[in-house]
Amino acid sequence: MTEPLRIVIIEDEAAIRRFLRASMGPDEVEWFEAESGGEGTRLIAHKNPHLVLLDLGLPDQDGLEVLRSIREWSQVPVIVLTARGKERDKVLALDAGADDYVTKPFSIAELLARIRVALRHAARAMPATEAAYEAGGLSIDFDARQVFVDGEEVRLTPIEYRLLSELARHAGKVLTHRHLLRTVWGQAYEDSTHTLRVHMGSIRSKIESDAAYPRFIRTETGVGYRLIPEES
Amino acid sequence: MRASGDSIDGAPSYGLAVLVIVLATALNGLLYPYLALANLIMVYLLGVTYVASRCTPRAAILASFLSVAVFDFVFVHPSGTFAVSDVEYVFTFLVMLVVSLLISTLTMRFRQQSKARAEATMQAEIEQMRGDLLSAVSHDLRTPLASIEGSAGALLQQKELTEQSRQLAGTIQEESVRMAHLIRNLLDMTRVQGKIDLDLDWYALDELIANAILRTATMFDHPVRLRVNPDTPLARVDGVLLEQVFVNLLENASRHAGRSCQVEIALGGGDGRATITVSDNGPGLEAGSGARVFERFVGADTRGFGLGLAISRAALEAHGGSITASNRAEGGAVFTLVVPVGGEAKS
Repeated sequence: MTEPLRIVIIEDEAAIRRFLRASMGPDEVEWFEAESGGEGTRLIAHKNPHLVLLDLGLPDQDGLEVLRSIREWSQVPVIVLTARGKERDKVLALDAGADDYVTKPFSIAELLARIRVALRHAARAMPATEAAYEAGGLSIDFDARQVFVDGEEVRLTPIEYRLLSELARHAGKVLTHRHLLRTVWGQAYEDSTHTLRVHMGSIRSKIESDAAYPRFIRTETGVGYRLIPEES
Repeated sequence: MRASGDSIDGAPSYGLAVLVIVLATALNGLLYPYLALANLIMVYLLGVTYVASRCTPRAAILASFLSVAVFDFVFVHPSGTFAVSDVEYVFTFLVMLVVSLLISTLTMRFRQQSKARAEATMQAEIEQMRGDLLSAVSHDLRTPLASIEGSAGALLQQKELTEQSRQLAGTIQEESVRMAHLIRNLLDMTRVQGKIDLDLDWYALDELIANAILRTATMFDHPVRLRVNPDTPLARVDGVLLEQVFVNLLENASRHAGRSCQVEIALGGGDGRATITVSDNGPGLEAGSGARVFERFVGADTRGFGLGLAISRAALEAHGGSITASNRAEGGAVFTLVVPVGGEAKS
């Protein structure tokens, strides 16, 4: 058994901090709790955590500001906790460098899945160097630029391939529309949601067999897309 | 001063008319030696104008009539009589009448408009306050609810729990999820009741539908069937709101047709609009309840406020679309949604 994970939680609701601590015992996680943005930032600087959970609705400071100030000097994975209906805040947080988000009220299982994904990506220093992706019937050979679903090759256009491989390189993590558009099409296209939807639709029609139950690509309405990670 | 400046009506208005004419006559009595008759009429006209601007048309008519009568009786030679030669003053009377009616009608219309504006402003403020209050309340309810659900979830993860404790913790968790759902409905209702600020962007409707199917997956025994016409164009809509509409319709199906029902969703498009049908093989709608199901609280029972369909209709209408409910010939209910699509792609 290695050393426990160090997680800093910045959340003003004591009850939420308490159940999070209870859900992952001291042998798994060492918790550091902060009620305010300032306190949390200090904790991150001193404790060098593996992960940060950040509530966007803090009383003393806008959670986004806290996130931006953390990102000035640290690449620690940050998962933001946010309320439903605040899609704009989620997008802002993700574009400001948050790794993922969960919407309150959230289930422990959901949070754990997000934490696992964020830690896995953080552990891989250079995700772009992976040679292949394989999960749940979808495999991508990054060298040969080939995509297979259940062993059958799927022909994608170059744009579709770049979209899918960007999602695969961040499997399990939500990527905002803006991120995808900027990465695949370039800065000038970052507001062209229409273009993105057209190509995502085309990818889905090629790799998903049932529109009602997509196996690979999850739409995060108002936020972006994520490739469904193998375990969930 | 009377509230909101209504026109003076009834006995006080006639009193004012008489008073004004008496004053005008007194003034004219003083001016009589110096002015021509035509100018004395002007003093009356001034009085009539004043009465018309403050009172209802009836008092203005009275003032016009009195003016001419008094003028004729007091000032026109021979004074103290109404002579046949005075018929020409009928013309004076008519002009005064028209002027006073015009002024009093215009004033009344102006007053009514400003009154309506004030009422509309007040109504909007009340709506705003109610919306603010409800969303503040729902937000304050959700925070403790997140703690309750999370705590129950953490409890369920404990290994040393007895079966009974596990069941109780499970109930706490399920019920808090249900309550979160009710709060969300209330919040959506307050949102769609006021002026809706739609957060418009391009969406593929089948993605929204698939998400709604995922979110309601635990409510059905059989997988939902989704048929998509591949030519369906993208729609510029509020994705979060529209996804919630699909969730509401699926919940409604599960509630009324039972969890063992078979739900089918079909998505097609053409002529600048997309049509979505959500059908089930349950008992269908009660006869004659077609449009009524979309009214608030109509579907209310122990499991909800019956807001889901009302929210759905308001959301569709805000998009310039529509939603209707009917029964299928082969049994079961079908909801038909029409959403405007297409338009100019900004890309």
